[in-house]
Amino acid sequence: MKQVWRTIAVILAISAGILVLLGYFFDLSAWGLDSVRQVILRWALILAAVALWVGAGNLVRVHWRKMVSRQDGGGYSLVTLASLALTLVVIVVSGPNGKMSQWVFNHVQIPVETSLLALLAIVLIYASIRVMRRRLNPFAIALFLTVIILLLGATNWMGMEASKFSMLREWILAVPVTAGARGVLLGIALGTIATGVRILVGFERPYEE
Amino acid sequence: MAEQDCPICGQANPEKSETCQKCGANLYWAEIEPGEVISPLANKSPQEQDEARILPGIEDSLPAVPAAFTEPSAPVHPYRLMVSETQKNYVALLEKMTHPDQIQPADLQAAAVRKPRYLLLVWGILLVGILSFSLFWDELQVGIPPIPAEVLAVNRSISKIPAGAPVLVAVDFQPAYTAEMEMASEAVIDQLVAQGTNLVFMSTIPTGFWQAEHLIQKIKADRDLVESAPVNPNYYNLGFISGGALGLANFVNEPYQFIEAQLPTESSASTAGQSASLGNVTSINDFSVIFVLTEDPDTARDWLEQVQPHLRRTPLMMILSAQAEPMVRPYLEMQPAKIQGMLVGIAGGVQYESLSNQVQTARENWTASVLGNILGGLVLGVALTAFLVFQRWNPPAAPAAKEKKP
Amino acid sequence: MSFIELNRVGIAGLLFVLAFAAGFLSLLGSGKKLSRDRLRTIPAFSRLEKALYQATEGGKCIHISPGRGGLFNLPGAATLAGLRFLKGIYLSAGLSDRPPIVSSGEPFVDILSTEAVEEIQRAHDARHIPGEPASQLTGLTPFSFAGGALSAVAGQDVTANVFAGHFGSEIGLMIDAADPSGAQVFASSENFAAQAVLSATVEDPILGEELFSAGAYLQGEPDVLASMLIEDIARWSLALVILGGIVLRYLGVI
Repeated sequence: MKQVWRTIAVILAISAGILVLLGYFFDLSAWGLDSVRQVILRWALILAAVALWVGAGNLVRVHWRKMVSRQDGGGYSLVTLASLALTLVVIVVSGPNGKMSQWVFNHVQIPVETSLLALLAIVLIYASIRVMRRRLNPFAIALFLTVIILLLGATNWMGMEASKFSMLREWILAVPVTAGARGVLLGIALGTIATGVRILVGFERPYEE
Repeated sequence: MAEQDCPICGQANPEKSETCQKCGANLYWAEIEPGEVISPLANKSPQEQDEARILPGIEDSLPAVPAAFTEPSAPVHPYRLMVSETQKNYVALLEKMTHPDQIQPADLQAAAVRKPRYLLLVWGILLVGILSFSLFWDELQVGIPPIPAEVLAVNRSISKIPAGAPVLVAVDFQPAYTAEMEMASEAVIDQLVAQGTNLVFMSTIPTGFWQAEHLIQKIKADRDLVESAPVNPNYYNLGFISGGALGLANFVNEPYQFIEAQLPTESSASTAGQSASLGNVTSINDFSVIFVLTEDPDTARDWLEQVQPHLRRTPLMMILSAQAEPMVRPYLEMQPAKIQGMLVGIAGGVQYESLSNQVQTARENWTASVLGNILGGLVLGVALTAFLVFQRWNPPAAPAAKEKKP
Repeated sequence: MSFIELNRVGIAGLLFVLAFAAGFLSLLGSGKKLSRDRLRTIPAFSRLEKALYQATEGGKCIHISPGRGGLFNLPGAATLAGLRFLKGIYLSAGLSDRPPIVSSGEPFVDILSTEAVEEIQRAHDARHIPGEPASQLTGLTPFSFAGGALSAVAGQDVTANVFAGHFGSEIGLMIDAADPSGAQVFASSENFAAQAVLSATVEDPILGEELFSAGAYLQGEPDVLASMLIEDIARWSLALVILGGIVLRYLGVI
């Protein structure tokens, strides 16, 4: 029985994938398949929204267990769960459009996340110096020189028109960076196509039990 | 029934038997192969062998001194253990771990004690201190970069939009990038508000709804400071559309089903015009302009691949974080261009503010932004120079040991 | 059937995908033996194998994160590649009393990670601690995901951190959190901002399409090896087409 369900799952997955793919190139309405394609797309949207709730449930489960079993960091888990519960209450009471909901976003989420991004800016410089200490081969030197030129050439210096750094920066962005980026992008695109093809022919089955 | 031979005595035993029925040897512990029994007296002459016995002259008597004391360097191997390559590798690793002189530094992990990072703290204080200082020192100003063609294109497109026309604004940036993205986009949204357009916000990320509200509240607050008569922006917030690229594909096919839910149920004098304007939106091409605000090049590509092919005369404009520009710029420069205008980062915000002469949020923070870039570049430059020239500043860690085959 | 405004680029793209699929299937069906011995050495993968042995023998655990890519966007392929990493590592180091810690930043990634881990445990009749989640979703936005994963990254019992999937620049925070405890870091992402951060902060990052080769390097899976071979052929073909186009353009033919 399990084998039967597995086979059905594979057939469904491959059919849905091929139908959605063909819909980008062909007019499926002549065959009456366009409505089926639209239904599949809508189901995917619903799944994506429901998955948010599943994810939130998993988050609650993990932190509840950490807190109850008094593991390291259990105190932080308590704060997490309390914040989640409080935010839920606020949004239910005041509504997603309400002032209190917006207040929570404006005064808690934005400051916390922007602070983490600011921390990243500090940490990256430090981490780069750490890597310089451990690995200073010609490629690393070229990398760090490029970073320095791009940082120093981000604008005109002291009001000077088109400083040398700015011109060099423009050239670096236009030629080597774009060329290298396109090469890497092509490689990633091929990897993506390979993954997609493996799913469409049934070799890649992330849904399988 | 299949049989198995005992490797010790040769007795044939049933297949599933665990011990030998004759000598009691364990048949499953290890596959052992009987080897040659090497006597400690094997290499001795007959006379030496005889003299080494307890009872010389009697052939079967035992040696006077145990073999361990006479032939310590001649190990006796009655059996050879048959092991696989993987098992040999594990044994080799265990041997290395029990012999400290064989362990390479790279094999060991550092102790779990967290090392304090004073240098990071110093660098953080220095950066924050200098940037904060620059924010309060009004006389310190850095010039505005030259305005590129794509920014001028945005200005031209907006100036042609009539009052009451619907404009789609996709707020697709994460909360962490609020500062940069709002500085980049505030002048544009402010100009749209001033022209009386109907803004329709939407987002493909969950926090986009509140992000859009935050942006519009900021514009209202800034306009209240600047103008004596505050302007109420005309806007609708469609909220979060799930599904990422699939959600966009769905939105492109049927935008009205998302808008309809947001239209006011009772039209008032002030909202009747707005409802009528939005009620005419039946396809994506009914919007006068589409602005996409994002820090993620993948999100920008989603819009370019799912939405842009369906656009006829509606221009698509991007307001991006600096990190997304290299990936998105080719779409602006290709022929025919898929993007008709673009603003990038705080620099783009500063450039647009100089055109519109309205809010100056980006301009107020531009000097600090530039100083941060320069400071970072200088610190990296000094560090690189120091490492290259001196090569003595904190010696580098030992290179990873090459793997030795057992 | 009729084409809906199918232009030349669309036709070329569709034919390319079909040719790729045909090449892949014919290579697998030909019975040709594909071996990972012919793959070029990627230092990070060699180091990773060693780290897996050391973690198992040393009684420590590994932290793995397949990222926050989801399935409905372009990074979906990176997510699936990250799940291959997860499966490969779990097979090597997961069936012990210290199974790897798995964290993610997106609900679908979390669900698929849980499914992958539980599938392996079932297949090998291994039982994890009852009630202990196989995977944890640490946040729903990039930086909340990074912030939530820091406790796992910097854990005292974690000897190595593997980041493979879709990450943004927030990966810099997670990599930095691993430094004080001395845990090794293996990181890969298809996102350019993340690759820039990795290049500057990790000694030997796994860049670009190397992310998609995990199944070949870690487990020698024939379908991944076959698709890598077809990718190589496709890459060379594209390079020749681009060069040919440049030459023809220069000569004024096109």
